[in-house]
Amino acid sequence: MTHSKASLWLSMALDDELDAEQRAELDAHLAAHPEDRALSVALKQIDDDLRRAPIVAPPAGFSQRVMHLVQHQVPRPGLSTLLMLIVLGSLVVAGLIGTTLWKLALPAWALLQDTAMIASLVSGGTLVFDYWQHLVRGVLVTLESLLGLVSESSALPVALAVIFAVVLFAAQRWQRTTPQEEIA
Amino acid sequence: MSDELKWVRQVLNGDTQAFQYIVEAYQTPIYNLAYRMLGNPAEAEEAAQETFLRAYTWLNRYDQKRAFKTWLFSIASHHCIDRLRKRRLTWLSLDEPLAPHPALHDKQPTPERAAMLDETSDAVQALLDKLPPKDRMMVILRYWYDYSYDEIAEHTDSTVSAVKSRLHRARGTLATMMTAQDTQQNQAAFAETWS
Repeated sequence: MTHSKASLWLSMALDDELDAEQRAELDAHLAAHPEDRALSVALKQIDDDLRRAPIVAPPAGFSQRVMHLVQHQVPRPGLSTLLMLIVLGSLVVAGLIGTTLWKLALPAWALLQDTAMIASLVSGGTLVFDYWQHLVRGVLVTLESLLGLVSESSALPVALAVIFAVVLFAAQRWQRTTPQEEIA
Repeated sequence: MSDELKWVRQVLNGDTQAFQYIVEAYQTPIYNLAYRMLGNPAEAEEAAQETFLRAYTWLNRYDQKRAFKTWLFSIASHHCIDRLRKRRLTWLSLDEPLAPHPALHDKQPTPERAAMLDETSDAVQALLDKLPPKDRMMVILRYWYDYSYDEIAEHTDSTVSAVKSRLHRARGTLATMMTAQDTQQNQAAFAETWS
């Protein structure tokens, strides 16, 4: 029996997971290998210490404090409201970026000056997608010219995938947000 | 129908007060789990409170065919592991030992026995704090809650062989650390005797 197998079996023996035959094999190995016998003693010691460690009770008044928090929970908006806020927030930020690019006449300016884009920003509705398409392409063309990393043809799908991933990540984070943080 | 399932249904029907029965029934196991995971009484209380708040908020997601205890423990353990991850990102040194829980010093029968048990408990907690979070969780579930390999695997989304392997590794690490500590203490005692 190898040292690593003996070590694993010693651990399993502490959980009564060895049958009689395995147990006998392990005992025979330990009788012939003092270093594994020493390991056996150390494992038994830590096992005993863990079994002796007490269950710790919460401080007095714990359940009252929890119930106080439960009764004063602030209801939070649903996921759909959050997604709508993210989309609206993104539109505003994107509008600001677009305006800045336009003002600075950066390489994306030719796309951003498209009047349809400006109309869609103002009117919303069906032209919003058009606006997004132009804006994202504009931003990525600028990035491309700045960094030389993204080709224009692949820029739009990459950008949409990134935006989708960011929205998904934000939604997941929201779901994991603790109610207590909201109370604070 | 079990008591807890009855309480769960009462809460879902709008009786918030019924949640108190759940808190009272599970406060000690949940608090102990948090304390053993986080090694700090104040943080353990926060984590245990958070566990109950999440359980209350998400009660409508609880699958009533499964054991309530498993569901609640799952919330607690995920939350504790999240906290440990966040803690790793802070500038606090993890080498500084955290204060032991005051309750560990309260319930001992005689001063000699108290001293011995306190020492063992503190030493165990100090060693436990040095294990990786997932290994620590498995040791806690095994020793304080008597979970089987199957139950630990289900609880931690892993396989039985992974549980065996992690428990084996965790015990090996604990034994090595304990042996090193004993050696240091013996050397210190020897040096003190001859100084």
